[in-house]
Order: sequence, then C-alpha cells, then structure tokens
Amino acid sequence: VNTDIEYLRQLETDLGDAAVREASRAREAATPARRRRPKQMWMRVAGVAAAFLVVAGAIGFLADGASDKFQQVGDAVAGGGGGEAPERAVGGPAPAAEPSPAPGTQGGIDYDPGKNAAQGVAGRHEFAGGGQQQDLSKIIRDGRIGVVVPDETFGDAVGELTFIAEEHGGFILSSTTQNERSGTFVLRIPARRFDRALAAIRALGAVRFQQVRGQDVTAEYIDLQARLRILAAQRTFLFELFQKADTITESLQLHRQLDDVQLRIEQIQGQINFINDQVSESTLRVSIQERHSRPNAPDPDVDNPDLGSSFDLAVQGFLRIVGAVIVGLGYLIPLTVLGALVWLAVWFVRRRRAA
Amino acid sequence: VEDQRSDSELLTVSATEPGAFAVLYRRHAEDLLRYFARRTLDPESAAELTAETFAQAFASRKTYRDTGANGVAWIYGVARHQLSRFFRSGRVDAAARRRLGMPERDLPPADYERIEDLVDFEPIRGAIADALETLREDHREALRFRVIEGLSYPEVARRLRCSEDNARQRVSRGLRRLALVLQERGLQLATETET
Repeated sequence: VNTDIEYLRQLETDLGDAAVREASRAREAATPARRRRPKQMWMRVAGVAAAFLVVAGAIGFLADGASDKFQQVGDAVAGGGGGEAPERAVGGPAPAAEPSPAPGTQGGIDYDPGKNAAQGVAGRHEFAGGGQQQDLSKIIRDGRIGVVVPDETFGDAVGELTFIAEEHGGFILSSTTQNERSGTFVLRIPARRFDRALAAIRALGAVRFQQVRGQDVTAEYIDLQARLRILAAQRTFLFELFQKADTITESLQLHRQLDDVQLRIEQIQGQINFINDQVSESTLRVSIQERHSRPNAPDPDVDNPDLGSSFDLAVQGFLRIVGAVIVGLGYLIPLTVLGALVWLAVWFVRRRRAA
Repeated sequence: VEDQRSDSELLTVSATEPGAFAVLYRRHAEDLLRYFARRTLDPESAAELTAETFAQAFASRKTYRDTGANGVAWIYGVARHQLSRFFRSGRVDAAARRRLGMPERDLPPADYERIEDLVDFEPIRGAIADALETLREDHREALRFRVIEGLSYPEVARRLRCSEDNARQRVSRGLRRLALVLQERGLQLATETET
C-alpha cells in the first residue's frame, strides 16, 4: 500500500496471509472431497438417523408406559377393579371384583368370563336395559402367583391350597416340592371361580409375584362353529343323496364322502370342546416357599418352551420395539419440524444482523 | 500497472480471486484510516477499526451483490457498523480478525503522529478544551500538551516525566475517552460527506 503508515503495510500483509490460508483450506476441502466426504457424510447421516430412532424409541416406550398408567387409572375409576387393574393392562380381561360374591360390572356389562364359560357356549352380557343378549366372547385365562409363607408352615400351606382348589370346584393337576419347604403346584379352577380362588391363595402369605393373562379365542371359536354348521348341512345333503342312490357305485362313493365329512365334523367338534374346556377351567401355577428356603427356580414365561415359541417371543419383541419407534416418531417429527423452524428463524435474524 | 476495474467489479471477483481484494485495500486503506481517526481522535482505535473493517469485509466479500452503487460504499457500511459498536462498547471488536487468524498488532510508535496528522484538530479545539475537564488528570495533562499546545511527543514525555511510549499511550487513551465524551455530547467530529 502506498503509505508511510507502517500499520497499514502490516495489515496488507496480514490480509494477504489470510487470503493464502483461505485458498489453502479451500484446496484441502476440495481435493479429498471426492473420496472421503461422501463416506463421512453418510456415516454422519447414519449416526444422526440412528440417534433419532433411538430417541424416538425411548419416547415411544415412555409414551406407552404413560398410556398404560392412564388406562389403569381409567379402569380403576370406571370399574372399581382396584388392585386388579394392572393385570387387565397386560392383556387379561377385567376380572370380577373381589371378594364381592356378585360378579363385577363395568358400564352395565357383566365381565365375569367364568360365568360365561360355565354356560357351555358363549357367556352372556347383562345390559342395563334388562334384556339378555348372547355374547360369543371366549377367553382363556391363566395365571401365576408366588407366595412366601412363614418357616415350618409349608405343609399347612399346601393343605390349605388343596382345600382352596376343592372348595372352588377345582383340583391340583400337578405338583413339585423341594425338601418340604417349597414347591410349585398347577391348579385347574373353574373359570367363574378363578378370581376368588386367586384371592384366597393371596391370603396364604406374602405375595412375591402375580401375573394373570387372558387369551381371546373368540374369532377362532366363531370360525370353527361356522365350519361345523356348513359341514352339518353338507352331511344332511349327502345323506339324502345316499338314500336316493340307485346304483351300488353311487352308494359307495356317497358313503365315502359322508365318512369324510363326518370325520371333519368330529375333528372340529373336538376343537370346539377343547376351547370350551380351556375357557371353562383356568390354569393357575402357584409357587409356595418358606421365608428362609432357597427360592424356587423361576417358572419359564412360556409353557413347554420350544423353538417356535422362542421365535414368537422374538418377533413379538421386535414388533414391540418397531411399534415404540413409530409412536416416538409421532412425537418427535412435529417437535423436530418446530425446532427446525425456530433454528431457521434465529439463523435468518443473525444473518441479517451480520449483513 | 494500476488496476482499471471499478470497486464493485473488484469486490465481485474477489470472491474467487482474493488478489482483487488487495487492490481494493490499497485504494482505500488510508482513507478509511482517516475516516476512523477523525471520528475517534485516537490513532490506536482508528488503526484497529481499520483492520477489523477490512477483515470483516474480506470475510463477508462473498455476500456482496453489485446493485449499481459504488463498491466502496459497501465497505464504508461495514465501517459505520464497526464504529457504532465502538461508540456503544468503548472498545474495538476483533472477532473478524480472530476468525481469519489475523494477529492483533500494536500500533508502531512512529505511526501515532502520522495518524494524528490525518486528523485536523483545529475546528474542534474549543470543544476538546471543554471536554478535557471530564478526563483523568494524567490523560488530561497529556492531551493538553499534545493537542492544545501542539508539543512533540519527546517534549510531552519530558513535561510528564515519563517515557515517550508512555506519553503516547496516555495521549491515545485520553483521545479515545475524549471521542466518546464528544460523541455523547452530540458533537459531529466529521461530516458524513467524507465517505
């Protein structure tokens, strides 16, 4: 610069150096970009996406938990089910209010599945209007409970358990004991008495754990009944043809077809009977142990565990995580859009100020 | 050979050709320094403001859009922004220089008088004499000897019984404070038509 001020000459040099540095940085950024940048960018994008999904999953699980709690509170308020509400939240149907002798009602509908099952076919809903309408719901219930009893009282507890089973019209299907201080018992109890039996077992000692599950097989049951009706009509039709058959060949063919239809009818009837049996009687696994005995080996969550059930559990877990991520994305995407808009506004204002 | 391109053209091409910015700097650096010196009265502040303005302009040159006005007006726009921040905060920003990795240099001793020569104190001598009363004793004495009586720095140093560098510093700090006081009193130290 054409001046005798030294500071301005130094400043010109400094600006020149800054220009050189800038050019060097630009070259550095441009040269390896073709090889390195896409990979780095993809890794960055993948990292951000993964973090986004993890956060979404966490939010989904939290939201799921919150909605479960909300549902439990709602159930407790609506049905007066009290402590039974959490069991309903894990999939079981609403049990009858205990220890009231009358079945609990929710919004005028009788929810006692045991009573329904005891009637042989579908249970009945008693509407507030006083009329009765057939209900085809079929629910298989089972449960697990662990009870701790004082030392030296295991024998007494087993005796009481046997009495409870018989008193409620059930029986002990199998039992396993260890050193006469702890044991596991499988009870079959009429479904209509399931909740009362469970309440009586809870009174044996301190409850260590409890789980009640319900499996809705209504759709399968209705399907079987429909197939049964069709096959019965088919059998009637074939029988009429059989009676009118003119030749031996024709008679033999119709007879074979009748046999075939009859076999299928019996198979379906067997499945229906099995469902009725499962619905009418619930399975209750009771674990009893004395306070200072070694705890029983935990029951597996799945009866007769095999590869199929493990696969089912894995798929269930996978779907649950995917579901949680989807729920979380529902919360996260609007928040992200909102955050991006705020960021854009701030960026725009700062840019305007800088300019 | 002098570059014949206009300031706007130089600013536009400087986005891809940093050498063009150097031409612009050589054309306007001293004028800009004078612009700051007449407004701050302080050689140190004026030099720093010049450096920061060019650093900011260099860093933002890619945002320049030629709208038909003279390109140097854009640089003076940056300068006015820097100056108003200086009067608000009482110090010169160094963000742009730091961002570019430029050093914050001290003003060489010989440059104090050269930059003061760019300021014509004559029209504001009276106002300066009034404003002096608001300054610290040591700054006021230094300014009185240097600006009112027009003594050289060696003579100012002898009167103040300090080193020449110390005398320069006192004059510089006093002028900076004085500029702020005059600014607060609404005294226009230089006309905008200069730009």
